[in-house]
Amino acid sequence: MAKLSFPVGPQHPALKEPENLRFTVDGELVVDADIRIGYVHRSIERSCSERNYVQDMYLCERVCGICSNAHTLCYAHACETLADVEVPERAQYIRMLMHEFERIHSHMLWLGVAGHEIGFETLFMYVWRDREIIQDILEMVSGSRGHYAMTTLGGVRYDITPEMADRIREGMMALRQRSERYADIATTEATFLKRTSDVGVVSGEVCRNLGAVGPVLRASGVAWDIRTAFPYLKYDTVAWQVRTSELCDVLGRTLVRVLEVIDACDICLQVLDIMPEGDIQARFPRKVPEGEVTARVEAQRGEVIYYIRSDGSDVPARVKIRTPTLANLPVSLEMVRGGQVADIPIAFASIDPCFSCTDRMVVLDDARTGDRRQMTWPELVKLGRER
Amino acid sequence: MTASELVEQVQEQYRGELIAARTSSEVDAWIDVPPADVQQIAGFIMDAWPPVHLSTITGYDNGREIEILYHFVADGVSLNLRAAVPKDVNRIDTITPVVPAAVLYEREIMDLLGVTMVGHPDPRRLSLPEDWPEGDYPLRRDDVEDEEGPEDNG
Repeated sequence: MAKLSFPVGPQHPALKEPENLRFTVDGELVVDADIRIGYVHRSIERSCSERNYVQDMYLCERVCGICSNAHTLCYAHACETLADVEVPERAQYIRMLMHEFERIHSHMLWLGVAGHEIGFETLFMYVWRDREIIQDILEMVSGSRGHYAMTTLGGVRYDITPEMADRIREGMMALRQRSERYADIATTEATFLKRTSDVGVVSGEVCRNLGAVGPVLRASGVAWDIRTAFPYLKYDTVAWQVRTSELCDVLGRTLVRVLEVIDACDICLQVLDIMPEGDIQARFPRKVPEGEVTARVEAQRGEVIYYIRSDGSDVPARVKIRTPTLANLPVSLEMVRGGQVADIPIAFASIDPCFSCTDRMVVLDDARTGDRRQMTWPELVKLGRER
Repeated sequence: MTASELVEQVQEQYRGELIAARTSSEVDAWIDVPPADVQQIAGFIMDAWPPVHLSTITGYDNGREIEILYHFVADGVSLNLRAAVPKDVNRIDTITPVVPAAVLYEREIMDLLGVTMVGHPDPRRLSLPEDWPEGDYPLRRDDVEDEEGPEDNG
């Protein structure tokens, strides 16, 4: 049978983001895959070298809507190293809380989407209902459900009150319990196993060779996590472990993420107990001494790295950002090669791709008209269904 | 291994002269290497401390040269190799034969800074649109006379 090559996208092929995939199939078998990105390129790196350090903080927050906190954290970490600013301990613990909150909300979002991709809508509904717990906590702490703007140069912007701490504890206990249930579903539910087991298989060696990061790498048996490889914040003061799986497939990636949610809850509970009282901000100079630095953090999707070069002024000479999705793209194409056409969506989604991060743009306003208008809920739903 | 030990070992294995080397902490090393030997040096770094992770490649226009920085993680140390490519040369060997993970990062640099990666297996654009004008590189700092982007067909 002749091989057939066809494009998918760029209009939201599987995810609510534009990318253009090209598959070559032989019957139901995918023999080759290629990807074209860049549809949401907005020159954030270039813009960063035209704004001062404080303004760049807001820009970096908008690299991604899901892992916004990881980006500000990494950016702040780099700037603080350059300027030799010591962040108060309490602020470091609050940053850790936000970092783990974000991991929880993102992994749960992913689990829901994974359920949706395999037609398991019940899972999607339940997970997203439970995700509201963490969204409420994020809103309580930062005032916002996304783009929390918690991190600032030299510390964090809001403190955690004892009342907040109590509500966080309650939420973490509930989320922990629910996540255990999801781990149970993922390992026992027949439909889920059939659609994820041995799908999108990629070995640890291939992952290593192609530079994969985060849960994708860990689900192929490689215990690599920036939180232990290059310890930052106060991760050395809490008990937790790097989760791995030897399954190398979508099921493995699911398990690693669900277990990381449970770990994140435990980390947050410990942080609330050991967090010292004190300042939450240190003074950050307007001008940063000349130099260059790299900073890495383990975002929910994997390693984020920032390179910042300072020429001694109040504007960075260069800000380079590498997001986890770009590192995981080569391996995602390996995942769909040799698989079934029907497995493309879940295999591809299993890296938790984020093209806005990768292309570095903001998806906020109405992309077609470019204007910022208010919509009623029914309008929004209608728009969602049309898309 | 500490960063300074790693720098020493790189120096030992490399027959030529390193341009500069410094460490900023126990786990952070910066080495400047001649651009002509970058593939060779990347190759023995990959062999000496497996598994080596390439985090990304940064391109930086310092006016006279395009600095290419390879951010490796080798044996727990963040190892940053710098190869400064003069603008009138504007080409450097690809490291993809020895570091397969570099494919997309090198494409990004070719796309945004216009440095040719000699021998790259897939030198297509990465981020910029297909109708972006040839010879216009957004991250270069000497070509700001034309602030308008490509023609909007939308």
